[in-house]
Amino acid sequence: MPIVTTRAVVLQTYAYSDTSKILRLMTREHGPRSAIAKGARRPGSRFGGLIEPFAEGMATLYMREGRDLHTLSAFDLVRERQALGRDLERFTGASVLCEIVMRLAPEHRDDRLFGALVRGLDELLAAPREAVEGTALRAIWRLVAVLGFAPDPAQCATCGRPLARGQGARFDFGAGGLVCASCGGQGPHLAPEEVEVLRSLLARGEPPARPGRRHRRLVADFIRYHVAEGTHLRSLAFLERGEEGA
Amino acid sequence: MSAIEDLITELGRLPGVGRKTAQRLAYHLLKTPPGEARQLSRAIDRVVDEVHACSTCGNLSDSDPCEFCSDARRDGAVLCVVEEASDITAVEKSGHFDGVYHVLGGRLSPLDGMGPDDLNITALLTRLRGGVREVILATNPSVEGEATATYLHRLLRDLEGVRITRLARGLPVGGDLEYADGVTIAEAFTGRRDM
Repeated sequence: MPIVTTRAVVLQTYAYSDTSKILRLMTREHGPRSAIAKGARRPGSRFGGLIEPFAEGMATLYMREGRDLHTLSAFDLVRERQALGRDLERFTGASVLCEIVMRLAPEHRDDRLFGALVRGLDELLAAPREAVEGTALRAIWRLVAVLGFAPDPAQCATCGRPLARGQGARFDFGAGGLVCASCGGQGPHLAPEEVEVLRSLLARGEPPARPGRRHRRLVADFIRYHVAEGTHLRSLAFLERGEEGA
Repeated sequence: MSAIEDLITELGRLPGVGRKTAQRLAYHLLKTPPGEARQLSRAIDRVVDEVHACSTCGNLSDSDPCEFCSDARRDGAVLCVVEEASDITAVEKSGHFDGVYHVLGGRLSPLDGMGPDDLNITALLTRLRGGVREVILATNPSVEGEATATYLHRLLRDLEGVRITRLARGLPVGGDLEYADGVTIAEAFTGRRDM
């Protein structure tokens, strides 16, 4: 494959040799890719501070068929997101989004997934301080939904009957969501107000400000059970611990 | 496994060394006079046996406390916090710092599973109980380095009589504004100062 220029988000970087970096990128046109940025660690490198996690730009890649590692020849910055590192909750939320994409994105173009990642990072950057936790959890649930696994809070995951508003319900990971009282199910029981918080995390509009530890754990366990299928996502532990975790 | 294959495998474990490079290094060692190869082997043995983390600052040294912690000419009230022991060499090269160091042993990185418990923070807090007046947060100017500095700042900001500072970020000396990247220029604008 020849030289390709594509919109890309930097998911993670590693130092390689004395002077280079290896990047995990989520590209819009080609899905997740790895690339080496030669000389990126040198002072005065043309890449400078551009290729940092969460940054978005137009990446020019020399892509070779059958190779896992391509060569980054240019990265024209579209949006830097350095400020995500200056707030630990934003940093953790953004890291979880990137790790989900890094480990679970399909190896081909997926505009919805790319869009959900970019939107999530932008929302985390823009969220007022008190809304960061809710914004992070909603962005994570949205990514899970794009991957095809989000629960439907309106109906029982076992029998499909509508769930009455104002009532608690059990969240059954095996069934894939909330289950009604007659179906029983296994898993944590959510109080009526917790079910409402889950509904609003999965819906559009303003996310709840502080969903709390229970919801952080719920989304982390859901990802572990359904999406990751044994893949160990390290950042989920940070998400569960919350603000003090990162 | 043959001796050569064994050496190639071991060399291939080193960071940044792939199988081909490991092979090249192995055959290079076989071609060099035996004395030189043994010298390398002895040097590796020595660092493994003699180099340890300083119990005060976490720096890697063959003495405990390390040469910086035990140097009475250095200002023990000014503490420079770095991610890795190798960062100390870079700061020392500047010839501009005569305080002491504290090595975290990494930086916060959810993607690498590195949390606060994995960093040398408890020892830092212990050191701050005695007569420190400034802590310079010299973690890397990366997103992860920034997150680490933010975490430490939150942890330390309420300490009475301790000034918390962060290394400046911006244009490199001798650099060319025309060729600087947007992020660096933005940081330089944010960190501009009165003349």
